[in-house]
Amino acid sequence: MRMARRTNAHRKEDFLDIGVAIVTESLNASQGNDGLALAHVKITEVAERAGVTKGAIYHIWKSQELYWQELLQYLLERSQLLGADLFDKIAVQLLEELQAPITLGAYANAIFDSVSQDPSFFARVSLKSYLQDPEVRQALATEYHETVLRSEPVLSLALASMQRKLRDDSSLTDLTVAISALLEGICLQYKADPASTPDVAMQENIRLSLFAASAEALFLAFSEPIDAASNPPGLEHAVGDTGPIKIDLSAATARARRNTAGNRSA
Amino acid sequence: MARPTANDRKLDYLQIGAEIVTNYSADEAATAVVDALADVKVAEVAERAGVTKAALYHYWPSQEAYRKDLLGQLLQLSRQRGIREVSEALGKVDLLTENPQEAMALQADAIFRALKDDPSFFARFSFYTYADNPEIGELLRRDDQALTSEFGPDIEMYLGLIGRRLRPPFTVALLLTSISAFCVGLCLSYQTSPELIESDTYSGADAHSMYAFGLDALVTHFSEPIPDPQ
Repeated sequence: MRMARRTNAHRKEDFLDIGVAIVTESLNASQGNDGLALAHVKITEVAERAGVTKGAIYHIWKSQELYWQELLQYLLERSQLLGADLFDKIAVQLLEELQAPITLGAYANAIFDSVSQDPSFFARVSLKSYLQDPEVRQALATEYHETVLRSEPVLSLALASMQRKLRDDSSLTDLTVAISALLEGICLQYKADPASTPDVAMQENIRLSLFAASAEALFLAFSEPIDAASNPPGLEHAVGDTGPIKIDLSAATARARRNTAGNRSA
Repeated sequence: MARPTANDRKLDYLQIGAEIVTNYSADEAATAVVDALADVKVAEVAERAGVTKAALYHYWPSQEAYRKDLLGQLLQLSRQRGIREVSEALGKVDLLTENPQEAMALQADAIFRALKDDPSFFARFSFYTYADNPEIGELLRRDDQALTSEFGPDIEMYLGLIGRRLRPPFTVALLLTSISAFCVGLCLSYQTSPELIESDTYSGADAHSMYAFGLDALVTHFSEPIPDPQ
């Protein structure tokens, strides 16, 4: 047998390769692996929290897997994991906590702080392991489009306050998609290792998170100064010499208030 | 209160599950075992390998120990895949000294193409829920450090080729973190909405991926031209 002649290290590798194949197959299969992202929700614990016996729950669902399947369904229907109104909530909260107008950098920092601490953001990302399920895919796609749509006005305001406009060959949607990818990626990085996403600078009590600094790079690449002769300010207060830019988010916030109020009454 | 109906009870049990998912705390994650690979059973691996379970337990003391190594393997694989694509892209074009910016953009395109629908890359996302578990956190961090040590020298060489250097307070590690975060974010969005990521409306879209465009933006912003010695 070929395997018998292989060294111990190679055999170990072979066994791990088989495991990789099993995981990969379950990610490609139409019937996904329900335990992948919901594995920590155990019937035992649900029973304990509900104050009933495990048997009471097994009476409804014959197995842990069946419970997971329906839980996934439930999460999608309730949109409990979908965060389209998250940015609106942050805007409202910021305006309540701070004196308006706030700086663009402070707004970017607040968004990073909020998303990187939000367990439902990570739960939503973990749902991506169920993308083979058309319903999951559809729900996540709808939520994503909604997030982009709701973020566009804020980014548009941010550009205006930087005295910049989109380049002729770029769209607001492209900028929004890029910034939101950056935010998701940096928050995941933070989750894996908070030390890997330190604040870039702290000067004169002005903090600049890595997300804010990186978002500025994208802002600059997708846009150009409104007045080509001037040198418009960036949002990098700490390294630049222009000082903080004040932006007035009250228009966006009023809309956000309406949105969050609408969701509560819905 | 009226006696809850069977359906009410069912909804209660689902609501409890939903709360566990949305409020999963760091403390809970810290003590979780690698459950996300629970469907990979040592028995099945042994069967596929044509050996006994004992043969596997010779290498790993338990099923959990096997799953932990498997997670490490999954993380490593996606990284290697990215690196392989880079070398292939570079093998095709010997542009690095001639037109370093174009060479870098081609590399970025290759990495994004390789990762955007690689299942072993996506397997990792179910593990961020458990990142507060010391062992899983350690694996994710190790993967991250490997990325820095593998691509760090490349980035520094590239900056030299385009006549730039890092601008304080930015560092190679910060630049790589941002670049790789942007790649991960784009891959995640691509999975549900490819049409937004492969949009042809942003600058440079006719030539390169949005990842290449953003990578260039980050490199430019985090660096400055090397001043003339005069």
